[in-house]
Amino acid sequence: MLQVSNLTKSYGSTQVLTGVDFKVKQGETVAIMGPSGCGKSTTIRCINRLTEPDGGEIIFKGVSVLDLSEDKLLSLRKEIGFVFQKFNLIERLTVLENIILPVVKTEAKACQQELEQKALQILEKVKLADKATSAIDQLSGGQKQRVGIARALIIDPSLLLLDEPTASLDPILVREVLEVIEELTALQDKAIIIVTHEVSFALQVADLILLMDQGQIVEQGSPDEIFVAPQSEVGQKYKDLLEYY
Amino acid sequence: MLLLKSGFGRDIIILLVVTIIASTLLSLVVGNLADFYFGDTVNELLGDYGEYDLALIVDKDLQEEAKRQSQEIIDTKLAGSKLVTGIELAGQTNFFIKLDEEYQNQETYTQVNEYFQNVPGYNNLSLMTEPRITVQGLQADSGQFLQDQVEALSGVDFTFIDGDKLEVIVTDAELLPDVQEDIEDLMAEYQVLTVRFPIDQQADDLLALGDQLAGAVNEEYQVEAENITKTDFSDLDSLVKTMSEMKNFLNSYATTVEIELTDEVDLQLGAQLAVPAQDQEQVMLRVTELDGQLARAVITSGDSAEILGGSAYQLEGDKLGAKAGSLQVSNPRQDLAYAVEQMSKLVPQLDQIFARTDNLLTELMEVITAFERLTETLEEINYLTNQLDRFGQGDFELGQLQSTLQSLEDNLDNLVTLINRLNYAQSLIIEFQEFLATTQAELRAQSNNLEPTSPYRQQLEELIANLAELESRIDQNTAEIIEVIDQYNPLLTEVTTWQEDVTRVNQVLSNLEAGDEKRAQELVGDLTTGDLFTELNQMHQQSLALDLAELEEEIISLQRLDFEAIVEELEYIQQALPKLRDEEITDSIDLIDQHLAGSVIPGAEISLLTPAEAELEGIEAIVEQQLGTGLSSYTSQIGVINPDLRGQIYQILSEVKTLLMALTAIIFTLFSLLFDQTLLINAIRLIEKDQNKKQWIDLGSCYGCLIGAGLLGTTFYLTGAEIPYIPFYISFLVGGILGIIAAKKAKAMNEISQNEFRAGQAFGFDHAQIMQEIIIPTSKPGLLKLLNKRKVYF
Ligand SMILES: Nc1ncnc2c1ncn2[C@@H]1O[C@H](COP(=O)(O)OP(=O)(O)OP(=O)(O)O)[C@@H](O)[C@H]1O
Ligand SMILES: [Mg+2]
Repeated sequence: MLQVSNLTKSYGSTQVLTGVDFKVKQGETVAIMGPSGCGKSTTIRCINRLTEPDGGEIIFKGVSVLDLSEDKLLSLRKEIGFVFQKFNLIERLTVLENIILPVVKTEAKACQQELEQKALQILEKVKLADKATSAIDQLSGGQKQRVGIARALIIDPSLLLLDEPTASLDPILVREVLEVIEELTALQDKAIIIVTHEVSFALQVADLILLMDQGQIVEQGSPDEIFVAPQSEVGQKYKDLLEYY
Repeated sequence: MLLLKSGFGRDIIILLVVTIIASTLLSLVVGNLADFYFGDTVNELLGDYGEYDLALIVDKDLQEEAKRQSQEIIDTKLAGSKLVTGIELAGQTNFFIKLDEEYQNQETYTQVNEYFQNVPGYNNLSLMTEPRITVQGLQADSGQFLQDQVEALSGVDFTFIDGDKLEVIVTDAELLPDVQEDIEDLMAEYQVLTVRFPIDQQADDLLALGDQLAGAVNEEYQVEAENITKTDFSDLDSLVKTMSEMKNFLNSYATTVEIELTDEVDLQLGAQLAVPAQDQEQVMLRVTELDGQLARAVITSGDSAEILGGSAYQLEGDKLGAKAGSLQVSNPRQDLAYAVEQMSKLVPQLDQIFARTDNLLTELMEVITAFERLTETLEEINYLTNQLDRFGQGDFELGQLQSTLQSLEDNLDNLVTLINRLNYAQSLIIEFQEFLATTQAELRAQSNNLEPTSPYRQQLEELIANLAELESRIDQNTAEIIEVIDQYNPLLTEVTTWQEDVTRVNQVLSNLEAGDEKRAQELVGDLTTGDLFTELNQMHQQSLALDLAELEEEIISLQRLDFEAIVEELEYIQQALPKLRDEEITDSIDLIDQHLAGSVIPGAEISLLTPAEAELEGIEAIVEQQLGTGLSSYTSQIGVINPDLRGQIYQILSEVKTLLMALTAIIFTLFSLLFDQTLLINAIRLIEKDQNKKQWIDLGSCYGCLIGAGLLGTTFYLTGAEIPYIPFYISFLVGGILGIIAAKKAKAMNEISQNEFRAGQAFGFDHAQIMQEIIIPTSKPGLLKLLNKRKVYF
């Protein structure tokens, strides 16, 4: 459902992506891994054009994303859920309002109650049903990220993009977030692309792992392929890492 | 400017419109509040605009009677006009007068001052009629000239002249600026050339001199020069003039002290010197003139009468120091007193002149008759001697001879008396001439004591001239008499001897016996021999031409001079002289100097009105050629426009008002920029950064500058607010600068959460939605947030 080819991006004179190619199938969970600064976030943000790529092609459900008009782009974004590393919640709103906000403009015709109902169901899924009316600043980091995930789910996305969802959390909180994500990966109607440094998590849930280094995908394959017989330098490092534990 | 494309442009435009409307309204409200507040205050003090025409100010104590009389004047002379009691201030009461429509004219305003001048406690009558423009400081008689032209201007109701002011009553307050501009233009077409005479130099017929100068100017510069020389003067002018005359008067009677300085002293003008005085005191001097080794000083303390010794000393502390020089005091008051005294002594002497001239005249008459009788006597004697001659030849009777001799004796006696009389007359004439000469000399001495310009001196000089004339007339007319008399003088002894001889012969004859005719004949023959008889006969031939009529005339003209009156006048001056000590005179002069300092002492002036474009180069030369030297000349404006008091206050108030409005607009704009626009500036910057383009300029600052200029400029334009003396376009500049400042402070004022912004982008929100739903609701309070309330979902 998603095909990215020869994606390039540079900031000023620094080439950040030097030609990224990969495919994601419906329902598939893809983990993007690689050393810090190799271009993972940039790649994932280019998919819904939060970051504007310089060149290449992105085909999502048969549509060329980079050729979309402004209006169409905005519609596209409404189909793709995005979870930020820093949660990016709207501080002034309650948990429930945060979750509903993405759809209030498009689904204004749907009555508020329905939306709230839906939001509460999602909250249940992320195990935060009791926090619906809480203010954001009363939540822990793990809870915040689960709200972030819930907010991404309100639009029933066919593609969910998660950019290091646990990187801002302490290890104990990481777990509750990963549990929620793991549940999502089981859903067959959604493709998930997750940028993560959690090797064991990737091993466990990913259908496909993309290893990036210096703006390129240096190796891709199933967890078994990559962590058993890595071809790349980066892959070797992750294998070593796994064995270390 | 992607922010605008998203449909948020509408929001921004609405915001700007609302901001401008709010700012304009607020400015107007502030302006009107100021108007209301200040305007009320002014109206309370002065009545509503144009409500009254005159303010009559009288002493509070007399206000009851003043009001009654004023009402009476209004009833009789200004029927229908209203009198209202106004405020009391500092012991004075104001009555306001609203003139009836009928009296709103030049005639009434010109006369109205006279109407009220005699109201008890009258202090001032001031003009309040509005709308009005006052042209003041009118040069010379230019008012009349200006008045005709101003009256012809549109919007002018009527005008009138009040002293050096031209009051212009305007039909409508709205026309004030136009009329004022017209008057200014009119006045700018002219200039006034003033030629001023020195104060002590008065010119006789200024108007004629003015015409003369105008003619010369016309010819030289080929311009229309109008003679507007002023011929009547204001009270103040007169006062100043009187004071300066007074000063001159005091100066001429102040004691001056001349000091021959010793070589060592070095004095400055204004230096203090001391002179020992009676009772161990000192008379203090102030040096007023220095001329080499000669100093002139006035007495600042004490009086010249108290001065002891002839030296002045410098001061060391309050003790006498080194000798400064020797003194020469001249006290014109003492001199005058002396002169008067001497003159009074002369009065009896002058009286004598009349007595003596009278006497002399009668004497001279006598002389004339004496001469006539002398002639008769001589003829008689001649006849008698002829008879005696015949008797000598023996042809006589004794008795006849005796009576003839007796008659001769009598005649000779007469002759002697006459000659003696002539001698007396001669001495009288000579003595009188001497008297006239000494009197003249004494009068001359007195005359020299008087001021050269003094009328008394002129009278004395006339008197002296008359006396001299009299002396010479007497001289002319009596010279002959004296000559004749001088010829008789030597004969006198001979005549006397002859007379004695005749007497003796007569005695002898009376003792002669009859028949002794021979002896008698011999005696008579002796009598008739000798030269005397021949000489007498010769004398008789001379005639005496004496014109007494001429002398008489001279004496009458002398009598026409009233000596006593002259003396009386001099005594009057002496009496009228201020009984002042020298120190008091000096003090008074100093005081007058202080008061006169800075005030222009009105000397005689000639004024010409010429077109402003006439460049009067070299006018000094023409003035000098026409009117003489020592005159100063300058050109000036015809007058100065002065808006009325309330107009001035209102002008200040309106300036305050517009300034307040301007400040309000500036402050409001600044707030709007800081609280609303900074958010937009930040949003613009954030969105621009996302573009895959290189950014050459900071769009946020550009936007801020543009919006600031637009907001402030438009508000200024709409409200008419302005900062006094600053042109309108500056408001755009100020607005732009405020905008740039806001852009600089944008981050600190209204930071946008980039995370929330990104979240919005991820939701598929357009920029407008991101702003409305996420950014604006979390921003600082402001109009933007207020207007956004209706859009935001949560
Ligand atoms: N807005 C930006 N302007 C300039 N350089 C950027 C910008 N965003 C990212 N980069 C640079 O691009 C490179 C790739 O960044 P990116 O965030 O994609 O790396 P990453 O793989 O996600 O790293 P990490 O694991 O640390 O998140 C980095 O070197 C980063 O410094
Ligand atoms: Mg990253």
